[in-house]
Amino acid sequence: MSQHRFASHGGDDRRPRFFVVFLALALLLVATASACGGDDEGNASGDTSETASCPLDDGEVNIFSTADVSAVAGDITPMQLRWIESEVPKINAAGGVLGCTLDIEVVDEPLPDFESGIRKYRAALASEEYDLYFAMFDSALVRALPKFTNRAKKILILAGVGDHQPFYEELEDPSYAMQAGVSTLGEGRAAAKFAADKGWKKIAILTPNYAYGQDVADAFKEYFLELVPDGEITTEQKPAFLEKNFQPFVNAVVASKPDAVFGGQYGADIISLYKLWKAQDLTIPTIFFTEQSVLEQLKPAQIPENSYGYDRGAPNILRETPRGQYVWDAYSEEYGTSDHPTPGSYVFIIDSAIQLVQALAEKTNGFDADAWTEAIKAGGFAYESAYQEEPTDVNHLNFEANTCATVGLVKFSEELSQGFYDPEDSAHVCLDEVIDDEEREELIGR
Amino acid sequence: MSTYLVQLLAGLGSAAVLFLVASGLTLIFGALRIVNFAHGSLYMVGAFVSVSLADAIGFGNAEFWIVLLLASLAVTAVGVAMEVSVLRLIYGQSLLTQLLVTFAFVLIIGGVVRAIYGSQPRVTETPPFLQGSVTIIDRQFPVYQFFLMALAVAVAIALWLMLYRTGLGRMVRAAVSDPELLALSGVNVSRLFTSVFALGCFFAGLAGAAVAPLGSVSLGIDISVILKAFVVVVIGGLGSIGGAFVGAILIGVADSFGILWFPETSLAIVFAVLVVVLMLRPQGLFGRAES
Repeated sequence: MSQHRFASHGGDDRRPRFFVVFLALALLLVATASACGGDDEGNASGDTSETASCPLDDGEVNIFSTADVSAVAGDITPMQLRWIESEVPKINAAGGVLGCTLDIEVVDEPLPDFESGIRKYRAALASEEYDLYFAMFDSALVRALPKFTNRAKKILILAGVGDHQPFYEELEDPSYAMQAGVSTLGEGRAAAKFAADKGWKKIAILTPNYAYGQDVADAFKEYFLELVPDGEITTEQKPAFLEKNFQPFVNAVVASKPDAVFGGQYGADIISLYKLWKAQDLTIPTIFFTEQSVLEQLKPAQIPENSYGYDRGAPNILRETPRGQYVWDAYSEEYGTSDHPTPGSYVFIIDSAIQLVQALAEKTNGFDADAWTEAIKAGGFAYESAYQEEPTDVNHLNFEANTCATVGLVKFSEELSQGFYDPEDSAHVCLDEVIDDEEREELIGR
Repeated sequence: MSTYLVQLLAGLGSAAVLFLVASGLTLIFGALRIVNFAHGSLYMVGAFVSVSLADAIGFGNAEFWIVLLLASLAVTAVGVAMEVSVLRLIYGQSLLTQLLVTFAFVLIIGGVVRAIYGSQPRVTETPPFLQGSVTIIDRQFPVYQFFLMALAVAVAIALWLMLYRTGLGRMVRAAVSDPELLALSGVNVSRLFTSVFALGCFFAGLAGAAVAPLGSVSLGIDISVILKAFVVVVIGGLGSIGGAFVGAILIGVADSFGILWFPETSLAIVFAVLVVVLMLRPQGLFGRAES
């Protein structure tokens, strides 16, 4: 079983020497700052008091998560792990969370073994070793998890997966599940709003035939037809993930004469479709799930005309916010010479989850699950994330953070040597723009 | 009209991909009676090696052929290593044993490929002479799909000639009928089996390298390709090259028109074809009933 534990002590870090040196330097800096009477204003990891006494008996706040550590599905989990590996030691060097050492243990699920993931969370819950839980990857898994974490009265923070079911039609009462990233509903509706604003009326759906692809297409379709009552879905094609030959699907889509094509395609499939688009000089706009793994692979000649994408916050857009700029800079400083020199959207999501933990701990002065949910239910709770300039609200009804998806034209950046979202033709659509509390209450059946 | 024509061509393009993979699979089964679940993994290795080679030597018109050949040979080498070290020990073993052992190779090869190439999708160019599209009435259709069709036909003809017009082919057919008698006549059956397995692997590598420019290359393409390839082999009749050729066309075209007419159930159509064929001919279209 692959396992990664990230803390500033113990654990089986992958680069122990680096951490020892880093920790020593960080402690030296902290000691120097204290001696000089400096304040913490420059500390982007939060203003945790160094003298705070940890309210937890063992002095640690332990977080458990499973994820795709073995990277079956690409670089999503590895990029999240890179940020944890980089950021957690800094937080701990600055005093931890309420004086507690932050320890995030990430165990291989391994994808797509749903049952194995469930077993690992249940074992973690039974062990009573963990104070909080993250869900970092598997949508199918996270849909089932709240049933266990809620029963155990443990906080579960979605820190990567986009599933929206646990927050609407399947919201439990009481619920201790929180969404710190962009949900499927949010990104599907953001894309629908973008398409409607473009004036497109006829949309072809070309989306993978598995849960995520179907969910995001449903979110898109429903909202698009609400925004454009005379709109039309010209065809719905559902190829397999990693389809060998998309040509029959492309033919069927073109034959339906759409204004644009929407789909939850990602990774290798987008590149395959782009090739076919280019080979046939097709100019029908596409909106696919163009996240970092695709952006990194794109070359200028491979991007067809009118290639739009959506992402759970495009990195080049998110870096315009103070927290986004911090994440971009810190990540680039650490990994700028690696194969993945700039952060992808999942880095900002895991950062959002860690920020949410810190903010709720500070707000309630502890880690009590009921105190955390009460703090949000009271209304007006917000924390710093990369999604907005101002603090990000957490909805008092279903604990979803007001995170934002980016929808826009994908172009090639010579500076970054990869694809990026053109700010001139992009929309940064936050959840509260596409769903209000009235609809939330309706969806969750209150 | 143009819609149906390009859909038919797209179906034939898919059939070409399926046949390129299924040809090696059915050849190996026909001669060695082994169900090689790792055939898709060899296809994946061919695709990844072709990306590496293209990165190293470029993907011009001449280099393209060199890449196809070298990638196929590289996969052949991997296949021979598999056969000599492990697979020859399980000839004649139960189907379950064969599936478990070859599935172990799926995991091993997948792990090695991930260790070497990482988990990001890789992209290779299309050679200049196969780029772009041709106009079919009022629709565009990629040139590369025609190349795949031509390659599939060339492979089918080459395999037929090899099996029915060469000494090696005669020995292979004799080995299928009675390997013990063939051994008694002085033929080194073990070496013959290795040769056949190598040939099947060569076609797996060729398929991977040829299909790579069609889209992207990523982990997981091994599993995604092998399922439909097995459907093709079963429909055609286990061990029948001609059957695989016809089965691939049947599945490719049925799938293509299913996508156009019944998009919600197109995948079901593929398996419906399988069920209908097996109901009418349990041994497959060109297979021989087991006595």
